[in-house]
Formats: sequence, C-alpha cells, structure tokens
Amino acid sequence: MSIAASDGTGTLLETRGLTKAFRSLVALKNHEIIVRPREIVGVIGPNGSGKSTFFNVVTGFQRPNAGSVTFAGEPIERMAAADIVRLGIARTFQGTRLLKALTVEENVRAAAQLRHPSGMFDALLGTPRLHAAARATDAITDELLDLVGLTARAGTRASELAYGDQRRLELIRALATRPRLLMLDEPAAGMDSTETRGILDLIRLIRDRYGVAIIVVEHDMDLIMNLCERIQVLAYGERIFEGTPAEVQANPQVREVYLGHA
Amino acid sequence: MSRAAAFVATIVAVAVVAGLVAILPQLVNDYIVRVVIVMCISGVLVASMGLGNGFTGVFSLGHVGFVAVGAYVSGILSLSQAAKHSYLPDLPGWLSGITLPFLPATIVAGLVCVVLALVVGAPLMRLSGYFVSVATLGFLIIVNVVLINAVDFTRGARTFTGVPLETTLRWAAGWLVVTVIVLARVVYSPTGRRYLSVREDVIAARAVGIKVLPARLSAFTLGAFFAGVGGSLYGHYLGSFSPASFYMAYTFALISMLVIGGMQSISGALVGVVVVTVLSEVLRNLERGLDFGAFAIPPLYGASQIVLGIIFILIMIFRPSGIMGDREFGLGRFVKRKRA
Repeated sequence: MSIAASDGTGTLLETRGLTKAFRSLVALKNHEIIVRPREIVGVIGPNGSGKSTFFNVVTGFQRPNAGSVTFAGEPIERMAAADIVRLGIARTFQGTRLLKALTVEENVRAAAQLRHPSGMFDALLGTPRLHAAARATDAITDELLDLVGLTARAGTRASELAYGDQRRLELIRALATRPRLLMLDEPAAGMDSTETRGILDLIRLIRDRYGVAIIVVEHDMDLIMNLCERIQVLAYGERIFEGTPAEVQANPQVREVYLGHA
Repeated sequence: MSRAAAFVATIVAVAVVAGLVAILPQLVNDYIVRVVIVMCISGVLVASMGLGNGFTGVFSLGHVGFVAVGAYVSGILSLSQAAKHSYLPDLPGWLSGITLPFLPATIVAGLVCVVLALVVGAPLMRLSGYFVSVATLGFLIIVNVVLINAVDFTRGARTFTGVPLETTLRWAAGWLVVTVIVLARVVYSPTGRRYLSVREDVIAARAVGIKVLPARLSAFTLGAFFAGVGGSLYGHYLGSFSPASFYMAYTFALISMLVIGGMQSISGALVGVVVVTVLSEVLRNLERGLDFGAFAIPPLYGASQIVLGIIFILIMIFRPSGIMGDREFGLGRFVKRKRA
C-alpha cells in the first residue's frame, strides 16, 4: 500500500472524470477533486447537485459509470464499500444510520474492531488474539466516547439518544475505523446554532488530534465558511467553482446558482 | 463481568444441568423424561435457528432442511450392517460397509450440513427480507424432494427405520449445553457484533468495514451444523422417520417456538421451546377430558390446537419481540458483560 500520501504533502484522494448516471439523469458529471492529508474541504451545492452521489461513489456504495477514484495511490472505484473503509475512508450519512437496537458503546465497538480483527474460532476458543482485540477495541471506544461526552450514555440504546448525540455518535463511529479521510454528510443538519458551533469545534479537534483529512457536505453556510480551508461548489453534477471561503463568497456565479441572489 | 466470572458461571451452569440430568429420571416418570429429551433436541434446533434468523436477521425457513439431512446422514451411518442389508440393499458399497457409533455419526451429520450450508448459502445469503425466506423455503422443498427420490439411500417416502435408539437424556442435554455455550461465545464476541450490525442496518455495517455476506454465511453455516446435530439426535430418538417428518409442520413448530420465546437472544429460544412444549403437552392431556368428581370436563379433541393458537396470537400482540426480546439471563448475561 502506498503511504506516500501520509507525509502531509501528497494527494490523499483524487477523482478524475467521475461520472454517475441514473437512467437519463446524470447525477455526477466529470467530477474532479483533490484532497490532501489533514485538509478540511467543503462541498456545497443545491439539492440534487450531486453531493451525495459523490459521497456514495467514493465510498463504494455506488459504482461510477466512468472515471477514476484514487485513494492513497490506489484505484478504488471498483472496490467494495467495506474494503474502502479498511483502506481508510470513513463516512457518515445524511440523517444518521446507527445500529439502533445496539447500545452506544456497541455502535463504536462495531467500527473499532475493524482494526483488531478476530474470527469465529477466536471467539470459540478464547484465543489471546480475541482478548487482545477486545482490549484494544475497548480502549478506542472509551477514548472516543469521552471525546464527545457520551461516556455516561455508553449503555443506552442508540435509538434512545437525542438527535444531536446520535450525530456525534455516528461521527465517532466513523472515526473508530481509524480513517485517513473522513467524509461527513451534513453533520450539522437539524442542529441549532449552539450545537452547530460545537460540531465545528469537534470536527477541527478531530482533524488536529487524529490527523485525518475531512470532506464536509453541508447546507449551513456559517459552518462551511468557518470550518473549511477550501470549498468546491457543485451544480447539476458538475464542479462550477473551487476556492477559499472568501473566493467562494465573492464569486458571482456561485452567488447566482447557490446563494440565491445575484 | 470478568473472564474468570464468566468461566465460573459456565462451570456452575454445566454442573447444574449435569446434576439435573442425573437425578431427573429418579424424580419423574418416563413420560416426562421423554418430554425433556424432546425439549433438549428442540433447544438445539431452535437456538441454532435463532443464530441466523434472530441475530443476523436473515429469516430462513430452510433450517429443517438441514435437520432432515442430519437425521438421514447420521441414520445411514449408524444403521447396523444387518439393518442396512434388509432396509437399504442398494446402498453403495462404501456406505453399506461402515457403521459408526452415535457421536461420530452425529458430528459427521453436522459437518455434512456445514458443507451444504456453504454451497446453498453462498448465493442465498446475498438476499434479504422476504426474498431470503422464500428462497430458503425453496431449499427445504428441494431437500424433501431429493430425500423422497434418493430411494437407494433413504427408502424414499417410505419410513426410514432401524436407527438405533441412542438419544438418551444425557446425550440430548449434553448437546444442548454444547450448543448454548458455542452460540453464546460466538454471539457475544466481535463476530457476533458483526452479525448484529448486519441485522440492524446493512449499509451502516458496510460503512464500518463489515462484509455482509461472510457475516451472514458464517452464522448460517454454524446454525446448519447444529441443525445437523439436532437432526441426528432427533433421528436417534425416533428410530423411524420419513421425509414428511422434516417438512412444513416441523418448520412451523420450531419457528413458533423461536418467535414466541424471542429470537434475539439465546435465552429466548430456550424459553420458547419450554413454553410451547409444556403448553402443548398440558393442553393435549387436558383435551382428553377431566373428571373432578363433582364436575367433569368432557373430552374436546382438537381444542388444544385452538387454545395454543390463541396463546400465540396473544403473545405476539402483547410481546411482539417474544417473551425474552433481546434479553439474556444467567450464562448469557455473564458472557455479555464487558466482553470483547
């Protein structure tokens, strides 16, 4: 596996000519993006502009019709979702997708155990590998629950959490897979401004502490403009602009398409 | 709970079962001992069905197909030479020449089911929801038709007989203990966590790096092993059976036990077996009529089935996830605490 990207200078994720069509609807057209290690990149655009398709194609939940996705030097556009996670891309979903009947800590462990594998025979025989894996998984889980203040709720069913806590849980569950790139789909949706501020700080903290690159899709412009170092604007499945938050806000085409006033 | 405590709990539970098995025949009559044997066999079958159906959420209707294979495979293997000559004269030489004792015949039956489950499961475990239920029902039907037509091996639709009656209370209870310990260790481990994740949300499971097919297939296969074992136990309990013994009626009996007990825990499977078996036996005896001296209940044949049906409906209305839901008691709880 090429780790050249991890030195902080190379390219972590690159898409080229990425195209995905659903029958006659072209959801993503010749998409290109480059994400470097430890970067926080925003992707914005009106509903139906291809943001979610971009996420799904990169994370292996949908197959592109054309184009390439390269992660840390490896082509991943034909890879299964679970293998892409193993390679180091983790994601969250719009509106969360938790393992609802499981407890908060089990949600995190289900992800954390990816890096500490053990199989059925380890479980049956109680091998040292099983116990080492359990200890390592528990350690990651405790650390991440503490990070978002969910330690006291570790034994609660995920479905019983408040909405904001569900979002935080999904975020640390993604982080528990030890990604190099974290893709967050509307992390602040449905949150008030105080909670949004908290999420912003949390995302920054995660980048600083764990050294991951982060791609954020979000409609909350305050969050995007304050959080991201670079922003890509999509419309009708195509990249129409890319630049710093200041450049995006100043661009007349972006204002027309997305910000809604000329 | 610590590893040591879980170990102690397991030892204690095994000791209690062993003690009960030793004294039960002295305490109660032969009829009750036979009911307990059947409950142990059903426990093996229902708990192993719960592994796939309850824990990975792949609702298979094909479990009894593996039970049938287990019963026939172990039956053919443990039939005496004389019985083989008279009942299965056309058996191929390599099979007619061997007679295995009960334990190895049972293990081979389980292993044959493992191979079969891998072959059948590889395509079927890609399906979800109703599709997998219907497809696994198709597997049950195919097994039934093959058994009826493989006359040289099974005597076809006629009764397969001469199987030594070796399923004692000790064997049945012993295999139940093995089944429960194996299932509990797997379910409350990282492997079991993959099963539950796949059940809860396939997409979320993939998003944390869990491969859906291997998770489902391993549960299906382990379940099939114990279905084969249970089939061998049942075959060696009955002595004579036919393909019809392992078909729709038996499928629905086992499923009702699983659903009523609660299919998201091992305890639920066992509670379901006890509740349904005891209720059926009590009602079956009641319908012959009762005489209290001053007044008498006349015999009402068939009434037990109706009452049983009503009880099932009531349980499903008031406890839709079964009596136990996803809770465990005893051993299961010790294993669950803070492990892996």
